[in-house]
Amino acid sequence: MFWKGKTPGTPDFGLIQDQLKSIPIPNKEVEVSEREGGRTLVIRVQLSYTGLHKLLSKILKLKASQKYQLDGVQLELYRRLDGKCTLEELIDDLGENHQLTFFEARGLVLQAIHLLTQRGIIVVGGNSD
Amino acid sequence: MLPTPRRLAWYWFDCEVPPEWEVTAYGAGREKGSLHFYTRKGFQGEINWRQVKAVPDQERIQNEIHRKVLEVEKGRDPKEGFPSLDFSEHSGFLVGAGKEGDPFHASIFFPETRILLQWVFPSYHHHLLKDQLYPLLESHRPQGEGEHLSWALFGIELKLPSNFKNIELNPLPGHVVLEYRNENRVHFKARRWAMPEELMGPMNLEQFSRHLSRKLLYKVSRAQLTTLGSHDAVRVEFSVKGNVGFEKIVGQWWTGEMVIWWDRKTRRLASLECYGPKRHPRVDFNRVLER
Repeated sequence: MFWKGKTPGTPDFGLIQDQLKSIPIPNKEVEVSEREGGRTLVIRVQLSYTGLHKLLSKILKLKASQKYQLDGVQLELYRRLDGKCTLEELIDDLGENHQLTFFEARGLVLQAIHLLTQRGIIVVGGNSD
Repeated sequence: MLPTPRRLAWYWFDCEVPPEWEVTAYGAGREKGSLHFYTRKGFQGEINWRQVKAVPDQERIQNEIHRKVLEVEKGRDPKEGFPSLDFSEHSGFLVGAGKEGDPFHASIFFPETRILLQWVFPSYHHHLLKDQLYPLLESHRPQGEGEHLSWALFGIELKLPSNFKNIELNPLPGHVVLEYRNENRVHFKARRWAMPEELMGPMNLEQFSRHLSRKLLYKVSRAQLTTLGSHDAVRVEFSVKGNVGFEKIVGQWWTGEMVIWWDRKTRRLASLECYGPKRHPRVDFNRVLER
C-alpha cells in the first residue's frame, strides 16, 4: 500500500490502472469445504511436482495436496470471485463493506490476492477489454 | 467509500487537502520530508519541506524543479530551452505556472523556522488553480514555534507538546501507528485500525485491550471500561520494561496508560498509549484529542 523513501519517486500509474482491470479467477481444481457454519473455508489444493521433484515425491511419498483455511478478508474476496469481477470492483466492494478508503482497500485486497495466488487457490488474468 | 480525512498536519504545516487525496509515499523527517498524494485517477500532487540555511531564491528553485520534471518525466529535450514560469502570489505562496498540462508549483518560506515548503502539482489548468490549489493554499497554517504541534496523517489527528518528536510512522493497510518520544524518554503512540469486527472477532473491547497489551508486552495492572466522548472505551494501566539507554540494560520498569475506543460511526478502533520513566509527567489524553 505504501512505500517510503527519503526522496520518493512517482510510480507508473499506467501500471496501476492496468492492474485494476485484471480479473482474479478461482482455481476449479481445488476442493472446498465449509467450517464453523460458513465462517471459514477449508481449501485443499492439489500439489504438482515437476522434473526431479516428481521422482523424489514418489520415492519420499511427499504429500499430494495441501490444506489452507480461509477467513476474514481472504474469505470475503474468495466468495466474491466469479471469473468476471475485476480487481477494481473487489476493491470498491471491500471499501464499501468496511468503510475503507480506496488505497486502504487496495492494500488489503492486493495482500490477500498475493497470498491466494501463491497458494494456487486463484490465478490472476488480464482483461482484454 | 469513506473520504480520506482532509486534514494534514506535520512538523511545519497544518492544512486541508481534497477529501479523496491519499498519501501513498512519504519521507516524513523534521528537517526534510515529502508526502505524495494519489487518487485512483493518479498522481495529484506532492508537498516537500526542508530547512534551509539562507533565504532561498524561490523563483530560481521552482524554475529548476520545473525544468527537471519536464526533462525526466515528460521527456522534453533540454535543447528546446525552458521559458521561465509565470509567477503570481496567493495567500503568501509564490505560485509558478507554465503551459497548460505542464506541472505547476507553489512555495513559501517561513523565516522564523527557516522552512521552505513546496507544492508540486502534475498538470496545470486554469480551473484547477482556482478550484483546488487556492483553497489548499488558503488553508495553510504554519506551525513549529508554539508550545504544541498538531499532527494529522493517515486518519490520525493529535495535538502534542512540541518537545515530542515523531520517531516512527507505520501506515500498514488498515493499521496505522504514529510514535513519538520526548527528551525525557516519555513515549507516546497513536494507533488506528480498520475493520474492528474482524480484528476483535469474538472478543469484547476489554478483552481486546488485554490481548493487545499482551502482544505489546505490557503488564496490565488495571483495565476499566469507560467512555471517550460518545465512544465505548477501555482505559488500561500497565507497566513495560524500559526500552531506551540505561533503563533498557538494567530492565527498569516504566509505567504507562492506554485508552482504546471504538468509533462505530467511522468503523475504526483507535488507541493512545503513553509510557515512560515514573518521574516524568505523562501526556494528557484529553488535550491530545482537542481540535
